[in-house]
Amino acid sequence: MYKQSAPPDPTLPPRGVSSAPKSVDLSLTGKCNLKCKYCFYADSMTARSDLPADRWLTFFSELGRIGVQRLCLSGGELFTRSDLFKLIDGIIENRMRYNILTNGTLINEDVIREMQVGKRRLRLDSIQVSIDGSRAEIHDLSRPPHSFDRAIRGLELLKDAGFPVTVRVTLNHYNIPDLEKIAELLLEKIGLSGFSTNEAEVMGTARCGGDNIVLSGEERKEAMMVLTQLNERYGGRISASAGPLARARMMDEIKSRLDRGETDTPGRGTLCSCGGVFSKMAVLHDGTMVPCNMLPTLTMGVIGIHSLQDAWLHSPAINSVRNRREIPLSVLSECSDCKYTGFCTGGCPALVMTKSGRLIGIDPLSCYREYLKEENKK
Amino acid sequence: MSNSDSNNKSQCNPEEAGNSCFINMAGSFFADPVVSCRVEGDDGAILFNPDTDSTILINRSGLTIWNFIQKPRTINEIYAYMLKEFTECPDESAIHNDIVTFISDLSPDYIREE
Repeated sequence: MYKQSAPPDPTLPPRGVSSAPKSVDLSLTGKCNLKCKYCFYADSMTARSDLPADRWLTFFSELGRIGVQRLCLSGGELFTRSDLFKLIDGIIENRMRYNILTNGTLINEDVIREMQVGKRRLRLDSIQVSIDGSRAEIHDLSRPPHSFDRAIRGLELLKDAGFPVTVRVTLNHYNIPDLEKIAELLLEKIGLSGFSTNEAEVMGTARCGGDNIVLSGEERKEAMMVLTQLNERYGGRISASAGPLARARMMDEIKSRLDRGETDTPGRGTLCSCGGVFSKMAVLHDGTMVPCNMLPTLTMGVIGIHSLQDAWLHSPAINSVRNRREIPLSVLSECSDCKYTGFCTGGCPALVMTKSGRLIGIDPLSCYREYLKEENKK
Repeated sequence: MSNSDSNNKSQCNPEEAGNSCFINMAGSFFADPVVSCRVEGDDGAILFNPDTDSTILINRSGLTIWNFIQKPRTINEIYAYMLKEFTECPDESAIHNDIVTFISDLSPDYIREE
């Protein structure tokens, strides 16, 4: 815990917050045709109901009016919504671009054809398919049977039709030994320009499913090493903003700074991760506004009832996440005696919340001192 | 009036300003309806064209013009409107040049000619 003499007013946005979010993450449905073992969006979300199309279309009109530029559409599985293209046309009509996150298994020739109608393709920034193995025997260990073949078919249909398709590989207990083959499949055989990675977290079905799907410390260490090597081999075509590769980069960067005699990294040393809440927010499939869809308990209001712009600027839920960056790591009990606080960011607020049940704290995986302890055990 | 003002095109001399200055002075101009506008208080606004995925920052004067050209207007109509809106402008001739520069800078990504 920490002591703070004058906490900021949580109903006022801190400096640097624009009048409206630049982008909004929308979970348009809670329904999914799969039941994967690490889905963060499952669990308590299944009790909520999907908003009907007309409620979303009214909301899109509000977003267009205040100048939101981009929507990230996900679920559940987006393509289970039979009115999906009606919703996409509503996004286009309201002067926005969009991207899609999908498991890829429902993409067929009809979907490809539909996605070419009007400006649907022009306004699409990217469509991301989840692939978790180089073959069915690996991929389907964390997903239902036959998921792999259908996901690869969807991916290839999108690629062959020239869509801006990307892939996310979520590292989990089953696919670490397969990383080299995954890179070979995606970058060489299928010929993607790159793919991104993260890791399964103890959220949603990974928390409640009873299956040990998340990485052990040893598996994470191996993933950090293998991904770093693969990325060198493939010329930087593997990316990550979280997970083992991102962690490896951050720890390597801190080590380099220490070797140069530096005592901090500019812009760090507070709970400054993540910056997402300064430019975007999220809406769950029942219309609940939240700072991030990985922070579903921090509610900001409900679309159609509360103004998004008012929630964006004045909701204590999102301002509490923003104001974390004013809290120096050195005032936290777990960091007070650490000489590396100037290099750290505290980690993802959603993971801190998940692991500790509170918003103010650090994710041990983002901690350089913890990393050194792991290294010394080798 | 836009973030490209620093290009020193305020006199709008084609030899100095290049192609950006070649607009039809007798034409009517209007805000492309596909472009969204995010007002940022005293900082002006951000225009976004989702078809071209381009953005541009405009200042408060630019925002005044942007709001006025929600239907087609000639340069002279915009000029007359701005003189009315900004009564304490020290150099009225500069306003005309600034309007021309603004229209040419934002055409065709954000502003269309009728």
